[in-house]
Amino acid sequence: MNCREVREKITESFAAGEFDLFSDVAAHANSCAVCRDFCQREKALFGSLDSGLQDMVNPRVPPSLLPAVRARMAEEPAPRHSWASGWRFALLAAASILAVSVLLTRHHPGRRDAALVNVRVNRPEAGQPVLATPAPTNVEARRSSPSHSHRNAPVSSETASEAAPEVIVLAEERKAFARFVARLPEDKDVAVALANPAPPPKDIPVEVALLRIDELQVQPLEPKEAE
Amino acid sequence: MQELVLNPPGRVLERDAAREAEQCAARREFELCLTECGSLAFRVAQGVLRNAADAEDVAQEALLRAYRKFDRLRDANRFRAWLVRITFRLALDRWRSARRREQRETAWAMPEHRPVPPSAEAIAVSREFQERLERALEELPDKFRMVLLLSAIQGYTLEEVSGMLGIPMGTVKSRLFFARKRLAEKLR
Repeated sequence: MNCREVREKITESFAAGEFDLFSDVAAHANSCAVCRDFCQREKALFGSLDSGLQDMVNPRVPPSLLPAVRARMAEEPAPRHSWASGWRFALLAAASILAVSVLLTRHHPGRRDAALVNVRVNRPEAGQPVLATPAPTNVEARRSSPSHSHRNAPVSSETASEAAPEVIVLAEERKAFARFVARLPEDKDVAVALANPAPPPKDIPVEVALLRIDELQVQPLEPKEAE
Repeated sequence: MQELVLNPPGRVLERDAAREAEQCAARREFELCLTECGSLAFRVAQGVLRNAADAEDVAQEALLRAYRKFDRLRDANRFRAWLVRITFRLALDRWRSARRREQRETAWAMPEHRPVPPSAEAIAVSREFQERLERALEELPDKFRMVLLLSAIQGYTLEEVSGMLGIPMGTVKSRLFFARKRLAEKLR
């Protein structure tokens, strides 16, 4: 083993954190003054390197660190339990809005445009009802009562001529529905409820027995006697 | 047409209460992690930045970021490794921006006279050695530097460093070996 190989082994040994040299390397270093000097310098270098690194990464932790983090944590919302829950409810809300709109479209096939036109035409004053679909001809004939007087109030002559079922939407009801739809993504429980199908009806079907007539007598009507 | 089935308000309240309880549990769990690993975040940041005020800033930011994204951590046992990575990345960003700023400022300054470096023994305990060590450390690749810094933190064995970084023990040892060897070459 020559001096160059010994020096390489010394460096590798110290770099690996092993400061006890192998016997053959140690024997060479003891017999060779140049290698012994190299070994001592390398040992001092790696020792300084270790102590320098330890000084660098082991300072006193400032006592203000954790209180400062806790104070900033208090300003933050608490972490959620599951990261997917937000997306799940957002998807559910979107799906429920889509389902409601599809259902409404199916319920009034072909009437959507007319309804929209009427809503636009009959823009009410504040607090006035809105005619959401074309009104029948017998609107005026509907019974009015003091408590429901606003329901039968103004019906435009444009819509009254059309013969179709009437749905009158109050302005406050319309606003409330808009608020409901706007808050639907936040109110996850309602969104879930909207997305769930209704349970099947528990009514037992009624069996109708056929009417059975055994005997049938047909008789001519007796002529009325003139008074 | 389907019927709309609305949950009764009581059920909604129960869900809110359950959610709140979950959040409290998550907060308690994070508090434990914070107490255990807060100092580690500071030391990692200090190892990269070598400035206590900057290191405290970065450690705070890293801990707060970990708190915000705590729900994304599926395995609580991986918190330490996760926090080390967040802190290391933030500290590196801070250090790089500081270095860019420093380079801009020194580009206008006069080149200073550099003395001939003395021998290793003479500078071993000096401040200059520390500065040279810091510069040499900055030139190391990140993966070597991270292993070197974590293994120098008191109280952590190589096995724990391996667990923190999620790499095999042999990889930790080989990275440590090459990092020390390269540092020695630069300091020699």
